[in-house]
Amino acid sequence: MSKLEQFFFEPVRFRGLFVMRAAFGLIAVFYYLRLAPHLEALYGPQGVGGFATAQRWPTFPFAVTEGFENFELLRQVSQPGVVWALWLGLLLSALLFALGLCTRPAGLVLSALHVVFAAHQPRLSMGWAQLYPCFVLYVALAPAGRAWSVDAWLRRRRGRHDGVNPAFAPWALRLLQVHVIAMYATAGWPRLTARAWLHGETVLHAVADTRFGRWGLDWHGLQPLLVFATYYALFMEPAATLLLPFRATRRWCALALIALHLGIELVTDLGMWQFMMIAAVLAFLPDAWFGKLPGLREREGANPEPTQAPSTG
Amino acid sequence: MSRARLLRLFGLSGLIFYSGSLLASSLPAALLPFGPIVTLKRAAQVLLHSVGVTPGLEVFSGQSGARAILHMMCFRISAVGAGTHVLFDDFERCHTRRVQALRDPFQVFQVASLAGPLVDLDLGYRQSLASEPMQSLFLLSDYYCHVPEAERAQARWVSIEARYIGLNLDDGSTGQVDMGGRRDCRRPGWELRRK
Repeated sequence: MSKLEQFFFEPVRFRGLFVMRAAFGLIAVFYYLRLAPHLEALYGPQGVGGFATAQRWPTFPFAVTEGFENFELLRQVSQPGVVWALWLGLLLSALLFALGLCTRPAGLVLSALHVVFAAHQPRLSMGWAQLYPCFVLYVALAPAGRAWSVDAWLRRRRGRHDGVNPAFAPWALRLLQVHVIAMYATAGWPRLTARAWLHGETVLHAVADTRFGRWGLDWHGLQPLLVFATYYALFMEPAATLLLPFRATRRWCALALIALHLGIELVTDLGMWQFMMIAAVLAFLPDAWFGKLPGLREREGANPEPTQAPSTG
Repeated sequence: MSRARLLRLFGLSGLIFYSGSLLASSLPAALLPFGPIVTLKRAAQVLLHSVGVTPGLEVFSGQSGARAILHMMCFRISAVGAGTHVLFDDFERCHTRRVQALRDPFQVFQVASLAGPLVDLDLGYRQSLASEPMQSLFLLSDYYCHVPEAERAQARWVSIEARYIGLNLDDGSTGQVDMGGRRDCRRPGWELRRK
C-alpha cells in the first residue's frame, strides 16, 4: 500500500469526528435562527436583491457572489412561502445533523441549502459561509453518525453495535484536514507582505472598527497588547501550514489555533468564522482527548471491531 | 486486478487531484511571484471556483497603509414622495458612540452594503451603480424604495444620510464626516448630497 493510499484509506479511530458533526450542525442552527426576524428582507421575493428587484431591473448586472454565483436560485423564487420552507428545511437538516439522525442525508441537505442561502447574500457572512458547506460535506461523507448520535442509539436498539470508537477509512476526514491547511495558507502567507500586519496594527484595525469590534474600549491605550495579538496571529496562521501536518507538533498547534480563534471571538464579531474554524481544527486533536467526553468513553470490550486501527493525532 | 482495487485506485487519484488543487490554490504567490507558481495557483483557483469550492479567504488583508480607519457608521434612510417618511434611523448610536457586543444581522448587512459605496461616492470616485462595488447600494436602495411604508408614502426617492466616524491610528482621535445622497426609485442613478 503506497503512503498516499495509506493516508486516505488505512482505517483510523477518531471520536473527534462525532464532536465536529455536532458542532457544525449547531453552528447552522444558531446562525439561521438568528436570521428568522429578517428572513423576508434578506432572502424573500420582496427582499434585497430578490425576485421583485430582478423583475423590475431585468437587465441590471447583479453582483457576483465571489464563489457561489452558480447557485443563486433564490432570485427566481416568487413566493415567500417557498423561502420559509427552504429555511425550515435548512434548520431541520442542521438540527438532525447535530443530533446525528439520518446523519449523512441531513449533512448533504444542510450543505446544499446553505449554499443556496449564502449565494443570495454573500455580504452577510463576512466570508465564513463560503467554506462552511465544504466542511459539512466532508463530515457528512465520513461515518459521522456511527457514534454519539441518534442513529447509533437506534442501531443499538436493533442489536447492531459499532461501539463508541469505530474504525473507518478516513479519506473524507483527510480532505477536511487538507482544506484547513489550505485555508491557513491562503489567509496566512500573504500577510507576510502586508503593511498593517508587519507593523502590528491589524488587530487594532479590527477591534476599533465597530463593524467588527464588540467593545467600545479605549483600544489606543491597549496598543501593546494588540501588537502582541497581531504578531501572534501573524505567526500562527502561516506556521499552522507547517506544524499541522506533523504528528509531533499537530496537537499543540491545534490548541494554539483554538486559543487564537477564541481570542478573536472574544473581541470581534465576524459571523461564525471562529466557531467554524474551531470545529474544523478539532480534526487535528488526538482521538484519546475526545474519550473524556460523556458518551465517548470506551469501555473494555465495548468495541466489537477486530481492526487494530491507529488513532489520529 | 480486481474491480474493487480498480475502483479504489480511481478514487485515490480523484482524492489526490482534489487535495492537490486545494493546496495549489493556496500557494503563497505573493511571497514567491515565480511564473509557474502563479499559473498553477490561478488554474487551481479557477477549477475550484467552477464547482463552488473556496480554499480559503483573507478576512483582514492588512494591505492598506491608511493612517485613519472607519470607527463607526450610522444611517438615516427616508422615503421621499409627497412627504418624507423615515424608514431606518440609527444616528443616535453615533451620537452616544454605543458599541453592541451582539449585533443585529440586518444591521451588519446594511453597514457592509452601504459603507464602501457611500465612502467611494463621497471621495468623488463617482461610479455607475451598475459597477460591482456600487451594486450593494443599488440593491439596498431598491429594497427601501419598495418596502410597504415607502409604497404607502408613494416614494419617488430614497434618501440615505450617513455619518462616518473615523479613527486616527496615530493619536487615537476621532473625526466625523456626514455624507449621503438620494436614489431615484425609477432609475439606477445616484444623486450626491450637496455639502
